[in-house]
Amino acid sequence: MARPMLRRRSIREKLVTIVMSTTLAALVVSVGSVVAYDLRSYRRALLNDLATQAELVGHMTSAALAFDDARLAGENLALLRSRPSVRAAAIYDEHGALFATYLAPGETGAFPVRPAKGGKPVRAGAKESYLPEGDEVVLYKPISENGDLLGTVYLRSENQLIVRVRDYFMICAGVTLLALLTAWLLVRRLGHTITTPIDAITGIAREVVARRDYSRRAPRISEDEAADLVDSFNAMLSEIEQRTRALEDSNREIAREAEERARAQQEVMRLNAGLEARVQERTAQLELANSELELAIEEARAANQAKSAFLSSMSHELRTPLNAILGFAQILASKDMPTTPEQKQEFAGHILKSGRHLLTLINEILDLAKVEAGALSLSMEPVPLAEVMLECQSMIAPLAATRGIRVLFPEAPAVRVQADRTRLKQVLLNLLSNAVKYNRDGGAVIVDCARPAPQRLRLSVQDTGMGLTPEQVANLFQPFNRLGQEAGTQEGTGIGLVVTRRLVEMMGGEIGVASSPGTGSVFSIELTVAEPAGVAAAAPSAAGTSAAPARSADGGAGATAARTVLYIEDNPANLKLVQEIVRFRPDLRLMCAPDGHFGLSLARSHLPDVILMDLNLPGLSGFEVLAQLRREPDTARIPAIAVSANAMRADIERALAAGFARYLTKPIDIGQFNEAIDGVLATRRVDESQPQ
Amino acid sequence: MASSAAARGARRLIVCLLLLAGAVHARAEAPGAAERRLKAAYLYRVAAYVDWPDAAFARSNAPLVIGIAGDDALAEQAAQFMAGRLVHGHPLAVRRIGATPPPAGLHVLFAAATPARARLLDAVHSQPVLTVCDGMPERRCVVNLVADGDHLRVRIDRLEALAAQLRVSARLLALGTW
Repeated sequence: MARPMLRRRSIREKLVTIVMSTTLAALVVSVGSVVAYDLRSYRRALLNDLATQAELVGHMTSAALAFDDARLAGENLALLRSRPSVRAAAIYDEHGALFATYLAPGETGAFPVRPAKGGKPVRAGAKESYLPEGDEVVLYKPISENGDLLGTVYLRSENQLIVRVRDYFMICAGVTLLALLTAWLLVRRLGHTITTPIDAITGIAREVVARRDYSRRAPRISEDEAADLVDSFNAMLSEIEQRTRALEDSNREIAREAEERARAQQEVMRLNAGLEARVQERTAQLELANSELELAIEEARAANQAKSAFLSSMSHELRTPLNAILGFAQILASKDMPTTPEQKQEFAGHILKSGRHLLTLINEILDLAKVEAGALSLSMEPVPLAEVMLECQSMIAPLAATRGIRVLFPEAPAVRVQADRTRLKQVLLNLLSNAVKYNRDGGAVIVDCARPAPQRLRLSVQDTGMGLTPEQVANLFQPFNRLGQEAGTQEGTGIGLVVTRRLVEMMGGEIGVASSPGTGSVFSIELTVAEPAGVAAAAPSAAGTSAAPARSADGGAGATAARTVLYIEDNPANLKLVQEIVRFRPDLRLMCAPDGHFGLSLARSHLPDVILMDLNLPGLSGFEVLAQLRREPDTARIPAIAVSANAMRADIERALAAGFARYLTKPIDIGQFNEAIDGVLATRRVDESQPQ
Repeated sequence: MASSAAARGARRLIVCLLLLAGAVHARAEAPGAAERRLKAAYLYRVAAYVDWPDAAFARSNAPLVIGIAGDDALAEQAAQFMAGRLVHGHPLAVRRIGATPPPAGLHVLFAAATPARARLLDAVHSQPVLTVCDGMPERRCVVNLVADGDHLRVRIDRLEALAAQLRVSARLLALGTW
């Protein structure tokens, strides 16, 4: 509080100081100039007056001097009594000697011996000269008459200038003091008009600062710059009030935003926690997937190993029967090793058996490959189960009989299952042959049928073999995993069960194994029941059996006239085999061609009754040869039979679609060969007879 | 200050000594020479306080003629004294006046105390001639030089001045009139 008071007083003080100093300056300048001017003129007047007196005295006294009348000069000087300021006067003659004197009343003092100013004698015509001596002025005035110096007037007067200066000083001091006093009083009186509005603003400003109350307004007291200041101050206050309000609003807004941000942060943290949980979950899933992947890799590796093992096993399995075939064939072909007809018979039997085994092996491998490649197509149909079981029973009986094993079939249920007939028979034969192979001598094989569900049929084959350990069961369906091979007595491909399981699965069924070491194993398959019908079960069987006699009848009928057979084959061994087979058929006459072109020319020239041809011929392929034959009218109707080592079903279907009447796969089964030729010839005969 | 005061004192002493020497020298001159020189100076000074009528001068620079009668030594002295001086702008010419009637054109006539003085004065009476007499005072003289001890006093006869159509300065009249 003290500082603002001081400052406020200071402003008033400043005002007073300004006014006083201004007043003082004005006073000093004005009074000083007036006084200076007055003193100057006064001095001039004073000196003039003195000079005039001296002149007058000198003039009046010039005659007295000229005619040496000291009395007259003294009387003239005595006239100066009327001027009391003149304290002493004297007249010197032309030689400088004192001529007449005058002293004012009460004045004592000597006169200079000679009129001299600074030692210089006074000359005629010279101006008067003043000599200030203390508070007096001394004047020398030469008296001249007609150019001659007559004498000198000496006047000594009070220096009234000093007195006047002193008086002026006193007056000036008094006037100044009075003026300053008046000015001070006026400022005291009038200063309020300036300070009061400022005080008001200051007070309001102090209150605003102290209380931060920006709604206060300074009162407008006067109508001058202070009023402008008040207006500006008030405008500033309202501006500040507005800004403060805006700032507070903004602060509130910021606080609200901060709160929202905190909330958002909490939300983010919550989401983070969720995210972490999800990450952990995903990590766990990923670990799981990794372990699964590792498992899969392991499985793939195992499969790879199994495949390598499979290849080596397959090589081994293929070589084993080839060994027997080639070995016995060498003995038979060798002239150094003479053999008896009985031995020849026995060796040929070994070769035949091994060849058949090899064929079985290749077929199974092909089946497996097809199954694995997914290329095996099944023709699903309702199959009468009793019929299939009857066929299987008749096929397995000779094998079982060789080892004294009884095979017990149940009463076949009159039911049809949804399956591929051929494949179902293959599956059942595989299971039955395994049960026979891995049985003990004099054991038994028991086949059973059951209906675990109305639409399901279970067939089980039980043996009385050594049984299987759980490890063996686990590896049971791996290729070339021949159980009992350790014993080395039983032949087998090791592929059968693998193909069997795949076939069952493809037919919509399941295969299962239950085994106990030492007592035997039970293999069972489950199939879907097609329909509960059993009346037509015997009909196909009868049809199947009646086909064979008809064929033989055809063969007998064909012996009447020799038929021409053209065989187009580039492999001499295969040519030789066919020539040997045809030699046993007197009703056939064989022509041979090593390639397609020669074959075509032979066909045109001889027009054979049937044409056999290999499909993989050099130059023209079998398909092209056939197409050429069909384009020419003479040969267009000659039936053609394909003979190929390509045993794939797709190849067979393609060939049949291209126009081949039959398709024979190598190695050639002689029975099938004869049957195919006979069938084609019979059809051709019918065709030939019809136009007639 | 003390030295300058002493110097001033010394100077005054020298001046006093010189004056004494001058007085001794004057005293050494022939008696009457100083008086004549004084009279010559008085003649000159008196003329300066007197105005002649304009008709008294033929031209503005015509000489102011001073006639001296009865005292040749004075005439000689006055001629010597007045050579080169001017009164009211007029050069001064000194003439020796004998027993003969004074010539016309005189402006100042000094008449010594001789028997012929009265006739001279009569001759210039009523003329604009400043008459100056010494010795015994003369009634018809405008200016009388009267010895008063060591001093030579001047007495002006205002009536004579009026008669002679001369205007005499009041300052001169203040010295003494009849």
